[in-house]
Amino acid sequence: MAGPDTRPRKGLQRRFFLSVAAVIAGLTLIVLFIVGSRERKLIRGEAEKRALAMATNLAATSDTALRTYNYIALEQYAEKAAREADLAYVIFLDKEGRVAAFSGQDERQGAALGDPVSEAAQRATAPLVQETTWDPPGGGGRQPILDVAVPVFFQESAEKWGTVRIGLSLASMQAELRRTQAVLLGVGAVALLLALGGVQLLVRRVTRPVEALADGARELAAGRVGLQLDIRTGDELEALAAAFNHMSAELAAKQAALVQNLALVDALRRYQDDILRSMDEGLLTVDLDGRVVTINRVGAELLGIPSERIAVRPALDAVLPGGVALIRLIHRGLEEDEVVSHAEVEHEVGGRAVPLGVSTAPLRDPLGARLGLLVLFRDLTDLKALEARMRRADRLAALGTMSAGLAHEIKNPLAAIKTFVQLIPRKFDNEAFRDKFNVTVPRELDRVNGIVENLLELARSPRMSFSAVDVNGLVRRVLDLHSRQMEERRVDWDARLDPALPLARADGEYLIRALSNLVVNALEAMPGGGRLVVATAPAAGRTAAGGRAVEIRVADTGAGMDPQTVSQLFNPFFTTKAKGTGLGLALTHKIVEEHGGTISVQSGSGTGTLFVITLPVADSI
Amino acid sequence: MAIATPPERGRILVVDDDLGVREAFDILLGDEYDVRHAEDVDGALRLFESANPSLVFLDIRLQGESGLDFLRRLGGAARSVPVVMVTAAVDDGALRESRALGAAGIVRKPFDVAEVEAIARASTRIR
Repeated sequence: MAGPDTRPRKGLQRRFFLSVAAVIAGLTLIVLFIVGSRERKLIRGEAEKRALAMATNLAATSDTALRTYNYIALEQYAEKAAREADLAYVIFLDKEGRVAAFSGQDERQGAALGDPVSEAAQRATAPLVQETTWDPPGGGGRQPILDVAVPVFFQESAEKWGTVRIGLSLASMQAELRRTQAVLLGVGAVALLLALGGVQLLVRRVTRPVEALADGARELAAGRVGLQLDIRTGDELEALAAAFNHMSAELAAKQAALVQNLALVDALRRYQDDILRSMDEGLLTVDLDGRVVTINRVGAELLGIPSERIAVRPALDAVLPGGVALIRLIHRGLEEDEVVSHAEVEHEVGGRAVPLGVSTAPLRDPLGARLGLLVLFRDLTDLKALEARMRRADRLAALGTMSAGLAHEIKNPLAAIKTFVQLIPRKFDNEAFRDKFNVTVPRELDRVNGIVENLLELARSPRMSFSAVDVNGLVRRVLDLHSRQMEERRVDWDARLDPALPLARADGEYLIRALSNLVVNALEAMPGGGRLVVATAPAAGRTAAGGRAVEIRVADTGAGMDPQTVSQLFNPFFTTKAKGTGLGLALTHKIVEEHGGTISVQSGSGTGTLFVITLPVADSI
Repeated sequence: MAIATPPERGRILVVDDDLGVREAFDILLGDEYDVRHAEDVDGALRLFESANPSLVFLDIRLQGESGLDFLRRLGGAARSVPVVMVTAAVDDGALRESRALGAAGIVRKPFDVAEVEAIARASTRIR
C-alpha cells in the first residue's frame, strides 16, 4: 500500500530559525545605524567645539605675534599647541595668506598652501570648520581631520591680520565609534543566540506534539487502531489530539464491526457450502453468458464434470459435451426468464444416457436485475425404474380387479344356467320348469355374451374417424337421449354451453357413448333425484400434445365417492353397483384417451361428483 | 300373532342380489322347501326374524352392505341357524372372515345342484 511520505521533517524549525534570525539581525543593524550615527554626531560636535575653542584661544593668544610678524613666537605657540592630544597640526597664516608657522614643519614657513581646504581657510572671515584628510609627515597613514580655521582681526576693525588653523584628528573618535559598534554587534549576537534558543524551545513545544500526532497517524495507518495519544498542551494541538483520539476510537469500533460482519459472512458462506455439499440434488448456476459459476459436488458427479474445470467459469458447451438437451433447456431458461419445473432431459455421461429431472429459476440481485440462472437437477434413473415397477404393479392390480370383476359378472349367470341345465333330466316334463328355463337361460346367456362383447370392445383399438365436431350439439343430443330417464328419476338438468366454443377434434359417435356413460353414471348416483349440470368451455390448460383444448364438465349432486373408489373408477369391472358391468367408465376413459384428451374426477362422499373431459381443438392438431 | 313353530317343510332363506341366482335356487329347491328371497341385508334380516328359516344361503357381495355385514348384525343367532356362503368371488380373506363370523360352509358359483341339495337336506334333517 503506497502511503504518504512519513519521514519526519525539520522544515518548520528551520523556517522559524531563519525568520527569527533575520528579524534580530535587521533590528541589530538598525540599532547599530541609529546609535552609530547619533554618537558620531555627538563626538563630532564635541570635537568641533573643542577645536573651535582651541583655535579661538590660540587666535587670542597669538594676535600680537601675528601683528608683529613674530614668526618665532608663532612657531613656539604652534609647537606647544600641537602637543595637545589629537591635534594633527597647528598652522598660522599671515596677513598675506602665507604660512607663518606650521607645527612640525618649519620648512614650509613662508610657503603658500594651494589646496582647496587651505584656500577656503585663508579666505574665511568667520570661524570655518572643514573635514579633510591629513597625511602626517612622520608616517602613520592618512587620517581624517577636522580642520578649523579662525580668522584673527585687529581689535574691532574688519581688517584681517591672519588665520589660525588647527587640524584635529578624528582617528580616536572613529576608534571610539568602532568600539561602540563592536559592543552593539556583540549585544546583537547575544540577543540572536538567546532568541534562537527561545525559538528552539518554542518550536520544540509545537513540533513535539505535532510529531507525536504524525507518529500516531503512521501507527494508525499501520493498523494500530484504537491508539490514544496523551497530549496536554492546552491549545489547538490538544484539540487536534482529541480529534485524532476520537477518530482512532471510531476506526477501532468500525473495524470491530467489520470483523464481526466478516465473521458473519464467513459463517454464512460456510453454511451455504454445507447446504450445497449436503444436497442430494445437483445444483448449477450460470451467468447471463451461459458460463458455469457454481456447481455442487453432486451436480459435478452427475454431469461428469471434473471439479478443477469449474474454477475458470467454463462455457456450458465445454463442460457438457453430452448435454445438448440440458444446454438447450438452460439457454431457454436464460432467454425466457421463467421458472421451469420438473422438465426431463437425457444427459449422456460416459456413453450412458442418464434421465435428469431439471428445474430452473432465474437468479436476480436484490434490485431485481438478472444475474443468470439457477439449475437444479437430479438423476431420475432410480425413480424411472420405480415408476416402471409401479406401473407394472398397477397393471397387475388392475388385472386382478378386472379378473375378480369379470369372474363375479360371469359366475352369477353361469350359476343360473348350470342349475337349469342340470335339472333338465329331472324336470324336463315339468311345464313350469320349461317356461322358466326358456326365460332365464337365454337371458343369462345374453348377459354373458354382453360381458364378452364389452370386454372385446375394451380390448380392441377402436377405429375412430376424427373430424371437427360441435361438442355443444353432441351434449344436447346426449341429454335428449336420456331426458325421459331423467324425468322418471326426478333429476333436473342444465346445459351451460359456451356459444363461442371452438370445434373439437373428435369421433362424434364414440364421444356420444363416452358422455352417455357419464350421464348414466350420474343418474345412478342420484337414485332419489338431484341435479345434473353439463357445461362446456375452452380449457384453461393444454392437451398433452401442447395444443388448445375444450372442456366438458359433468356434475351431479349424488352421494359422491370415497378416494379409494375414485382411484379405481376407470378400472374395467370395477363397480359399486349390483347392476352394471363396471365397464362403462372404463370405456369412457378409453374413448377420451383415444381422442388425445384427458378425463379427471373430483368427488367426495356427500358432495357429488364432477367429471372433467378435455379434448383437443380441431385447428390445433 | 303366529307362534314360531318349526315348519312342515324346511324353510330356506336365499340372500342374493342377482335375479338369475335367486331363480336358480327357486327352481332347484322350491319343490321340497319353502324358499324365501332377499336382495339386501335389511330385507334378509327382516325375513330372518319373521320367517324363522332353518338354512340361509348368503351371497357375500351384495348391493350396499355385504353378506359379512349380515353375519355381524345377526350376531349369536347365526350359530343356531346354519348360514352357507355363496360366492362368485375368489376373495379368500372375506371367506375366512365369514368363517370367523360363524358361517357354516361355502358354496362356489357356479354350484352343483347335488351339492346344494345335500346341504339343504342335511340342514333341515338336523333341525
